Amino acid sequence: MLSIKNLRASIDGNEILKGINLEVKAGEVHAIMGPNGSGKSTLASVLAGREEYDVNSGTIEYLGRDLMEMNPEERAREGVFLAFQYPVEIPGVSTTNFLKTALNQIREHRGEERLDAVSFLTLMKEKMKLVELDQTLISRSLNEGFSGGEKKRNEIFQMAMLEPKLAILDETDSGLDIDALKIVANGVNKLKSSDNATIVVTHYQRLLDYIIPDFVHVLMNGKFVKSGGKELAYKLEELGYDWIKEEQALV
Amino acid sequence: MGKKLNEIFASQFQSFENRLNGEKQMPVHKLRKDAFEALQSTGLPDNKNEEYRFTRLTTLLERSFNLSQQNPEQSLTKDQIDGRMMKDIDGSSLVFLNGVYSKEQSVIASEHQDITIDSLQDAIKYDSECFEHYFNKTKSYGNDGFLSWNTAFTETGVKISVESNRTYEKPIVLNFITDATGQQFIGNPRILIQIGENSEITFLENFKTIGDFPAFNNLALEIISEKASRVKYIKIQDDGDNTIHMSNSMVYQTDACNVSMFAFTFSGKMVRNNLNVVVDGEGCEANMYGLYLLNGTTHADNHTVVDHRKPNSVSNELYKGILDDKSRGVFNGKIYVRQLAQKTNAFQSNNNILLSNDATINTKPQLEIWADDVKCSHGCTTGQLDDEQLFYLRSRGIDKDRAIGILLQAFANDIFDKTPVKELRSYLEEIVMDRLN
Repeated sequence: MLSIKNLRASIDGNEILKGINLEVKAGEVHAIMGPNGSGKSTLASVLAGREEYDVNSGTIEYLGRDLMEMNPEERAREGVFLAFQYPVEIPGVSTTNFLKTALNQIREHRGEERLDAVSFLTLMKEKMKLVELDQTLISRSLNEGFSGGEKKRNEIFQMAMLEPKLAILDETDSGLDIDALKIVANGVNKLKSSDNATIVVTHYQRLLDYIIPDFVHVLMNGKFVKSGGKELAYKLEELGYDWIKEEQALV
Repeated sequence: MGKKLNEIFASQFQSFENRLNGEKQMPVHKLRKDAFEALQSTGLPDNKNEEYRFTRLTTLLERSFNLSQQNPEQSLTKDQIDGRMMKDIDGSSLVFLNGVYSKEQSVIASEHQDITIDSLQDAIKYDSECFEHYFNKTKSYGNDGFLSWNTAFTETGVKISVESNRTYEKPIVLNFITDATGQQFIGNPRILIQIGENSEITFLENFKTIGDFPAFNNLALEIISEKASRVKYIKIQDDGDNTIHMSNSMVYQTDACNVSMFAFTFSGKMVRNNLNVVVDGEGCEANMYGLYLLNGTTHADNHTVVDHRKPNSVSNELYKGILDDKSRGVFNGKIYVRQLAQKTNAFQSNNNILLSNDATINTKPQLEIWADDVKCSHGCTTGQLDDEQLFYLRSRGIDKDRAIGILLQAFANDIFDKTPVKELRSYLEEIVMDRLN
C-alpha cells in the first residue's frame, strides 16, 4: 500500500528526515516510536501533504501512485487520513457541515452519489457511538472549546466517517486520560480491516497496549534505527531509548 | 476646484428654487437654504479633509460626471424594474425610480396597511407640521458636505411613520432603481423614518442601477426611534462596479430603544457610508454591524459615530471585511461617551481578512470618553486566512477553493447570525458562496 524509499525532508532549510524507508501493506498496523524531536510528526505531516515541508529526495509510492504528486485533498480522497496531534479549532464551522462537505467530495471523487441528509445523519449517529461522542459536540463549531480528549475522539470519529485506507495517528494518545485512551483505541481497532492499514505515531508505549502493532519502528535523528515486533515496544517502555542510542554510538 | 463646484451648485440651486414655485414659502425651504449656504461655505470634502483622507469621493465625482448636467426623466420598463427588485423577501416592496416614490410599482403587505408611507414631496406639502418636526433633526456632527448637498436639494424620497404599539413581522423593502441607460444620473434621495413608541419593524434598503452610464446616489437617511421602539435597518450594497454611493445615515434614539443597523457591501466603484447614532435616552441598545466583501477595485468606506449622551445604555459594533484583488476598505469608528452618560457599555470591533497582496485596509478606532464609570473596548485585526485551518479542511478531502469558502463563510457568519429576516440570510449567504467559488 505504502512504500517509502530513502525519504529526505526538511523545513526552513533544516533537514529533519534523513533517509526513511518503510513498507506498509494492507491489514498491517505499524507503530513509529522515538524520542522528542526525532522526526515522527514530520513524517506524518509529509505523508498528509503539509506544504511547509520540502521533500529533498526519495520517493513515496501510495497504491501505485506517486504520493508527492498529490495535493492534500487528493490524498484524503484516495484514502489517506491524518489524525492530528493538535486538532485545529475552526469557529463558525459546525462539525456536521464540515463532514458532510468532506464526505460528499470524497464520494464524488470515487464516483459515488452524494449522501442525502437522512443517510448522512444515520451514518453519523452510528459512527458517533464508536467513540462515544456526544451529539451536542457535533453541532457545535469544529473543535472550538473542546477538551483535549474530545478533540482526539473527534479525530477518530472523522476517521470512522471517511473510512480511510491508510490512517496515520499522530500522537493521538497525548493528553488523554486512560478512559479516553481506551475509547479512542477501541474505535481504531473496530475500524481495522484486512483492506486498510494504520500507522501509529507515539511517544509512549501506553497506546500500544490497546492498539496492538504488527511492527514497531524506532525513529531517531531522522532515521529508523531499529525495527521489530510488538516486543520492541515493551523493551522501550522498560529501558527507554538510551540503549538504542548506545547501540547507535557503537556502529 | 471648489470655486467651480460652487458655481455649479449655485446655478442648480437657482433653477431648483425657480421650479419649486410656491413651496419656497414653506419652512422646509429655509432648511434647504441653510444647507445650501453650508455647502457653499464648506464645499464637498477635498483630499485635505481628514474624514475623507482615504476616500477621494469628490475627485472621483469630478472625474466621472458632468456635474452641471440635468438628470433626464427615467424611462425604465416594468420588466427592467422587476428584474432589480429583491425577490423572495416576504414583506412590502417600495419602489423608487430615480429617487421618486412610485405608488403604482410598490406593493404594500396587508400587515403594513396602517403605516403612513408618503413620497417626500407629499410629506412636505400635506404633512408639513410633522415633517418639520422630524426632518433634519438628527444631524449631530460637523458639516458633511454631502449631507448639506442632499439637504439643499431635498425633493425625492419617502417619509414613513409607524404608529405606537405596533409590531410588524415582515420587513419593508426600499428598492431604489436608478436609470443610467441614456445618460449619467446624480440623485439626492432622502428617507425619513419615524417609529412610534413601543413599536417594532425592520427595513431593507436595496439600490440598483440599470444602464452603463455612471450613477451616483447621495442618500440621507434619518431614523427617529421613539421610546421603547425596536428597529432594524439593513443596507445591501451590490449595485455593480460602475456605481458610486454615498450615504449619511442618522439614527436618533430616545429611552429604551433598540436599534440595529446593518451595512452589507458587495460591489460598487466607491461606497461611503456615514453612520451616526445618537443615543439620547437611557436603557438603549444600539447595534452596528457591517460586512464588506470586496473584489476588483471596489472601494468601501464605513465611518461610524455613536454618541452616548445619557446613562445606562449599550452599544455594540462589529464590522468585518474580506478584501480581494485591488480592493480597498476603510473603517473609522468613533465612540463618544459624554460626561452625563455614566454606566455606558460601548464595544467596537473591526476584523479584516486580506486575500491578495494588492488589497488594502485602513482601520481606525477612536474613543472619546468624558464619563468615569463606563465600560468601553475597541479593537481591530487584519490578517490572512489561517494556514492550519486551511490544511485541516483539505486533509479531509475538501478542495482548496471550497475550504477557503468555508473559512470565509465562517468569518462572515458572525454578522449573518445577527441578521434578521430568514430569507435575507440565505440570500446573503448565496452572494458570499457565489463570490468565493
